Amino acid sequence: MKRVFAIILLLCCLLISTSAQEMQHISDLAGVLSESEEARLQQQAAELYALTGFDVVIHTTKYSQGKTPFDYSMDYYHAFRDPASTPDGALLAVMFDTRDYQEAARGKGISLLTRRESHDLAKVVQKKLSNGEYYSAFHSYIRYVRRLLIPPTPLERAVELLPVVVIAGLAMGLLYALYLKSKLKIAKYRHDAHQYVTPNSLKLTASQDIYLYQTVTRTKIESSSSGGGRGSSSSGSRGGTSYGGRGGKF
Amino acid sequence: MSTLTYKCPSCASPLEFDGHQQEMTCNSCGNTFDPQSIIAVNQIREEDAGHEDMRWDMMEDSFTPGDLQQTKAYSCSSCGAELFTEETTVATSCAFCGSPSVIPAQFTDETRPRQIIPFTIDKAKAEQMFRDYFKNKKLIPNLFLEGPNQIDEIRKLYVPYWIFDCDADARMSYRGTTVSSRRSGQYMVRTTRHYLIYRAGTLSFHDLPVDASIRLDNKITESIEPFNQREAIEYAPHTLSGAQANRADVDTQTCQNRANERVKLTTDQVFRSTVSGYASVVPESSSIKIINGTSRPVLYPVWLITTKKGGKTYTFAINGQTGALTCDIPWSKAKFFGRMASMAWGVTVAGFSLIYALSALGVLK
Repeated sequence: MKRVFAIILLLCCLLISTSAQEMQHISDLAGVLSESEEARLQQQAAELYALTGFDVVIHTTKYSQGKTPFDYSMDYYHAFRDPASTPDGALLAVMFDTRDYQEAARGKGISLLTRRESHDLAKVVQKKLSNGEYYSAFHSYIRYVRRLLIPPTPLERAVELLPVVVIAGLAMGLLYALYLKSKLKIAKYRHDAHQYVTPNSLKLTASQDIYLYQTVTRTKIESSSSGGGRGSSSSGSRGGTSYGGRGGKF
Repeated sequence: MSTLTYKCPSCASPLEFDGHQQEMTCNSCGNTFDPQSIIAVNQIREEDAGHEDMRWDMMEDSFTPGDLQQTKAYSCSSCGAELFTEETTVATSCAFCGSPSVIPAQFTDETRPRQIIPFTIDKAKAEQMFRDYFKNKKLIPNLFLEGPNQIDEIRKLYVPYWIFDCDADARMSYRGTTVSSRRSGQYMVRTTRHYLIYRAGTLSFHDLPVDASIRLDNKITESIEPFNQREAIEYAPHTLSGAQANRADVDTQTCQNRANERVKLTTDQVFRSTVSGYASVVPESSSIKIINGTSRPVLYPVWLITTKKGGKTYTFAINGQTGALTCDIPWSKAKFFGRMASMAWGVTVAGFSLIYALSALGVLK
């Protein structure tokens, strides 16, 4: 009996593993990722799916067919992955022709991602996309989704904040050592003579602030409607499936 | 040239000048005397002195010409012993009988102090301050913590200073900018306005001291500043009794350079503080002229303590008026970084544990 259960369990694992391997999570039509980068992202997304059942798709394109970023990403996601088999998930699309990034989420993804503030997503990917660090941007996005799905353990949280704690510790240590040093009355020169200034003896005979010229610089503001910076959110549906979206310019 | 010794009319012990009470005090019988009375007594004694002369012309001078230029011989008016002092020494004590001796004739017209600040910190207090210094000092090298630190020598010393009064006539100019931003359509417009800022005026300095002793490091004498010049009294030879003193051996012109450095820096800082309301200010030019500059020699009270450790002599100086202390004992860099590392480790472990606990309790998400 035990042997039968073991075989069934092994088959289930193989089935899940095989289905996870078969599911394509990366669609790099713009060709901005190397083969190894694509493989690593594929592995990260597949692992997330195996752990949580949440589907993450990364998609890049140079042709967004004249659609709005949300429409394009919603259409692509709906066609790329059957909502019936994978109801919970999100697609991050990067459109190089319009310099837009757009997230389209469905099922659990709407509450998990779309309802979060738009600039959340911008913070994760926008700067890296602008800098051309595409792998890093997509890796951060998968990690960001994973983190929302699987909150870190107390130990992971503490390890995450360890650099901050170490820097604070070094700063406190330096202040403490400087305090101890200040208690030593080591001889040193006094370079100023403030103690010997006659009180109220400063008499200004001339005090002029002469305007010379001015320089003007203009910086274009990335408006929220065009995405960049804080990003924007929207919602829609395809074939009876509701989608939520967030996105912006990079 | 003779020395002056102020003796107790009651028991003939040496008298010391008490700065607190402005009296001459006898440490032997405890009597106190008005300085003017003691000076009058001394004058009478001087008239009788000088008659007896029992010197034997037996010995050849054994000093080199160089030594002779720097060393002078005096007779102790208490025990008659011959004292050899440096030519800048104006107050000392007899090596044989311990009587304090003042040699006012050592002062030149230029170096004769106009004022003197009496000691208010006594020897016992100075010694206690020396011993207390080593307590709770975490960065002192281990050498000073292994066994007691003995006083090798303690000297009650009047240090010669030149003090300077002057007005600094300054003309300063700076470049300043203000920055404003406004939104114009799809653009953020940032306007930087550039200004030339000009300030001219005077700033007065009074009683700025500069150490006029070649032997004492300026680092030490500047570290125990300030002295309260308002408590200074007119110099009279009797005020040196019981202490050691040297006349100034650095001239006022040399000391002016140090005074100028400090006056210039302070004038720069005070004038800079009159410039406000700018996003950035950069000094462009600074021109300072000293006017109404005067200097005068004074004597300030310092307890000078030396201690020997590891074959080296270390110096402590205590302001004899305010009790400010300084020394040339080094700090241990190994202990500095050790303390820093231990504190950093403690804070890191505590912070890590706190974050772990708050995360486990759900407070930190």
